[in-house]
Amino acid sequence: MAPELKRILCVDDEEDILQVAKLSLEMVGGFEVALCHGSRCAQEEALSFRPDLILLDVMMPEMDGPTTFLRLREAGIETPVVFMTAKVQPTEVKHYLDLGAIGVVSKPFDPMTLSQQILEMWKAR
Amino acid sequence: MNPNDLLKPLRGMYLAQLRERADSVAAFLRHCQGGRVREDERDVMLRQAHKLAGSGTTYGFPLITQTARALEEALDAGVTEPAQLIPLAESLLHTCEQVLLSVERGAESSLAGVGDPSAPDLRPLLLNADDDPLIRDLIEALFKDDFRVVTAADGEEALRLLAELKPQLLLLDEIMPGMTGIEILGKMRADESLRDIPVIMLTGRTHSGDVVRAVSAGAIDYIAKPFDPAELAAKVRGLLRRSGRTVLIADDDPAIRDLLAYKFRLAGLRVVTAPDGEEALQQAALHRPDLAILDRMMPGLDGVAVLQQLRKNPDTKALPVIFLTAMRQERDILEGFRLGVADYVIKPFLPEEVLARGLRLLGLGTEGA
Repeated sequence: MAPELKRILCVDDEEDILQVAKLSLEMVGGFEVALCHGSRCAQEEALSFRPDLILLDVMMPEMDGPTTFLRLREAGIETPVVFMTAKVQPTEVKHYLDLGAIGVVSKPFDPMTLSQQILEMWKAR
Repeated sequence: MNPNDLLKPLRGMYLAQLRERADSVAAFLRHCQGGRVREDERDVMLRQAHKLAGSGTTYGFPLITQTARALEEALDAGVTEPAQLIPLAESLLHTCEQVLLSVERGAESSLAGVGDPSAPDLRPLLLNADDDPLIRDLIEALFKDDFRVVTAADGEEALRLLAELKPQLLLLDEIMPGMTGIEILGKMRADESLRDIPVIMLTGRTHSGDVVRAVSAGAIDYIAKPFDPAELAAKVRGLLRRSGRTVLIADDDPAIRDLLAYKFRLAGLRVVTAPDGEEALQQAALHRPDLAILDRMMPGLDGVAVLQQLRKNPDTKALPVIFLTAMRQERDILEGFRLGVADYVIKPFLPEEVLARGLRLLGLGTEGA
C-alpha cells in the first residue's frame, strides 16, 4: 500500500459533483485525479489508473456505491475506499465502515476542506 | 486559496444545470397545483431534489441544499398530498430563481465593466470541429461576440468536448483526420446525452448525395465550403434561438410526417412524431411540446378528439395547435377555431408555410431557417 496519498479516483453519476471534486482535490490537495461517470467504469478505471484511493458515491443509478465496492473487492481490487453520501445517519456510516470503507464524506462537501478530510481518513486507516 | 477563485471555472456548468433543474421543479409545482401528482412525477422530483441538495452548498449556495433537502425528505417519507408538497417546492423554486437572478444581474453588470469579475459566462456555447486552422479562426472571429466558441481539431477531441461541455450547437467539418463527420454524427445519435445537440455540417463537397447522407445521419443543416460568413451567421443565430423548443407532429401519412419533421428539424427545433391520435397524446404527455401539428383526419382518435383531450389536461391546455386538413369547407375551418386551434393549413400545403406558421406561433423568427 502506498505510504503517501497521490492518486484518487472519483466515481459519481453527477457531472457537477465530479468536476468540483476533481478541481478541489487537484487545486487544494495537489492530488492526481481521475473521474468515472457512473459505477460501470469503476473497475476498469481502478485497474488502469491504479489509484491510491477511490472516492465512491453511494446513491447511483445502475449500481449503487456499496455494490460497486463489493464488486471491486470480488475482483481482487483492494484499493481503500471513501464513500460520499447525503444520508449521514450514524447507523449508515457504521454500515459502510463495517463493509471496509476507510471513511465517509457527507454531501454536499466543502471543496475547500475535502482534501484535508480525505487525507485524515487516509492517515488514520 | 479563495473558494470563489477555485470554483470560478465550474460555476457556468453548475448554473446551466441549475436552470434545467429549476425548470423541473417548476413543472412539479404545476402538477401539484393541478391537484394531483403521479408517482413517476414524484420519483423524478425526488431524484432532482437529491441532486440539488447534494451539490448546492459545495457550489456556495447552502440555501439550495436546505430547501431541496426539505422537499427530498418529504418525498422520501412518502408524502403525496399536493397541499403539503406545494410550499416545499415553492421555496426550492424561489431559492433557485433567486440564485439565477442574482447571477444574471452580476453577469450584466460585468458586461458593463463593473461588478463581479468572477461572474460566469452564460453565453451559448458553440463547438467548432475543423482540422483547418484558417476555418477555425474565421469561425471564432465570426461568433466570438455572441458565443463562447470552443474548437476541436479532430474527431476524438470533438467527441470528448461534446460529452464534457454539452454545447448548444456543433459546427462540424465533414472531413477530418481519424474520424469523418458522418461517423461523429453516428456516435452522437447513439448517445442519449448528445443526441439533441444540433449539428451544422461544413464540407468542401457539394454533391447532393453528400447532403442527403449528412442530413439522414442527423445533421440539421449543411453548408458547402467556401461558405458565405453572413449566411452561416444567420443560420447559427436562428438555430440557437429555436433550439430547445419541441414540436409534435401527428399524421397517419408517413410522407407528410417525415417532410414536416425534416423541415422543423432543419429550423433547429426538436421534433417528436406520432402516426395516430393515441400516440400523439402519449407523446404530448411525455415530451411536453411547445407546438402541436395535428392531422384532422386520423384513424382512431382524430385531430378533433386529440385537441379536446389536450385541452382537458392542465399541462397541455394552452398548447398551440395547428390543424392539417384536406377539407376545404368553411364550416370545418370555423369549427376548428371554435375548438381552439391556433391555425389551420389546407392539404396539399407548402411545408415552408407550415414551418412559417409554426415559428410565428412560437414567437420565433424565420431568420436563417
